[in-house]
Amino acid sequence: MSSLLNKTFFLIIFLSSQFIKSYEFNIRQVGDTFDDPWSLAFIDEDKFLLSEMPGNLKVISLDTGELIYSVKGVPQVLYDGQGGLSDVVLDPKFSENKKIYFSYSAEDTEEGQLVDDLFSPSNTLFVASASLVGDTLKDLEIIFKAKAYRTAPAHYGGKIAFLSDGTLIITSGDGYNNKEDAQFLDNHFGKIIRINPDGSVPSDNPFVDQDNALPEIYSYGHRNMQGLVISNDVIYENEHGPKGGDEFNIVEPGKNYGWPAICYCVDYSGAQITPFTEMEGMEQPLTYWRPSIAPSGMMLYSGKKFKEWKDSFFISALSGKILSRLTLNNGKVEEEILLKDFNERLRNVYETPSGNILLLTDGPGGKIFELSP
Amino acid sequence: MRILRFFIYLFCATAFASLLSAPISSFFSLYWIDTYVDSVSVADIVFTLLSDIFNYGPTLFLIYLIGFLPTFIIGTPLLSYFKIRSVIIFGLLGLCSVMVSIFLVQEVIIGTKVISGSRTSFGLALHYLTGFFAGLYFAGTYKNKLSANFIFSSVVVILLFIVAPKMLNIFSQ
Repeated sequence: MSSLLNKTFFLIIFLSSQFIKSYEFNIRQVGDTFDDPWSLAFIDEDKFLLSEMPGNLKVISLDTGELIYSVKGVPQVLYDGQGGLSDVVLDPKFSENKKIYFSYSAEDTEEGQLVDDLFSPSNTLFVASASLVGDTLKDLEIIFKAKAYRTAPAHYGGKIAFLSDGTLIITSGDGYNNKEDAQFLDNHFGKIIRINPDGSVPSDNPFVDQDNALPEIYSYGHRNMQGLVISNDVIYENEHGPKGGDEFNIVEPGKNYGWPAICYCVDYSGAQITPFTEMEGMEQPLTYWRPSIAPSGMMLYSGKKFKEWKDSFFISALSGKILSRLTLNNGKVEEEILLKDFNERLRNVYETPSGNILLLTDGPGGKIFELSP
Repeated sequence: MRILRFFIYLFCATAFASLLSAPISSFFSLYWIDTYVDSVSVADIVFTLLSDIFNYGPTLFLIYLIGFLPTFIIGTPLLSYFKIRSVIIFGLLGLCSVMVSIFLVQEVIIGTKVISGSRTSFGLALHYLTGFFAGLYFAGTYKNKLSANFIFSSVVVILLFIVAPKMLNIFSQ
């Protein structure tokens, strides 16, 4: 009898600890709903720029969630499938120059136009810079147009981050139907790109002197990279696999990350993409997910509010509907799954200036949630 | 009973087309790897073929069914009414079914080329051809009575498709 009581007692303790673990945040919804929110960037302690895929750039108050103003002068985007206005980041000297950088997909009728598709126009990934003057974008300049023309509006990548030397790292996805091109250096499908803020190519890029290679390429063999963090000039990225094979990588210049020659995955249809999971000359991920969680945004947490989570990577997941917390210990990745019961497709994750965690949910009617201890 | 028999043979014809189509994907993915990346061994070929038949085959079955069901439900009685008994016509019906299925799924429903191996004109033509052979198969079988042997073989094949993917998954890990 006493043994049974003991077991029951420990079961209650176990269940209650699980309960507490699932609800260790205070969750506050910021504002009402947004139209396919994709990314955000804080312009001061309270205000952030929010990009919405249909092509809206808005300044929102974190405190009230209210729209302060909509930014004018955003270029026409192709809002279709996975395409639209994507990442928005501030120049490291934003307080002085008010410059922002943003990525988007748009139709392009110039070089490489595709005509074999009846329903979709030829389009590709663009990155532009502009100055935010008042509520208007001025001096808009396209600094990168991916040589990755596709008709299917899919797999753009589109993340942007800065290295300490001021160069930009951009992720350019494989376009879904063009996955094999990720292995060739004459295009921007499935590549990580490094350019100067004015769009020129840094002279120390790895393929700058190689014939038949585009000089903007920094690394290759990627799929659809939607999480990008740079810390101490180490580039971390996560990318979607198809059915299995989502990856978390450290990106190094000139390296081949294997897609689609190696993969811990099969295609969405169940078809084998490759029988190989490793190959000489191709990098292994730090970790991979099988089954897929569809990793989207990623941030490295400062530890301001959640002290024990300092230097943890947070990855939001779309189909997985979870928040994954990763820690790196001597090259080994440990994962904790958070928000298991949240049941929202998470598009992106950020840290607020005060150290809270901000989540964007996916789709029309997407929401923003602030998590605090 | 005739209607039941009709549907059983229609499903068999669809399964036949899927079975023929799955290796097309294996061929294209392995050909690309062998040509541009690294040589593939016989074991790689066998594994890929089996994996595609058992894991990808059921997806193809569902996709092809979109075309086969309406085409043969409408086409078969019409052909009987007009007393057209040419098996070639059934083959062409099968071919058109696959064309419509792939078009609907890839261009209208999903918007990307989800059917591996169909991203080239040659690959597409091979898929259409499997539809043609499935039509011939249907023309040759749908008037036959169901035998115990046929039912037994069908059950074995269905069981195989349930068990084999799990076995392959264990093997690949």
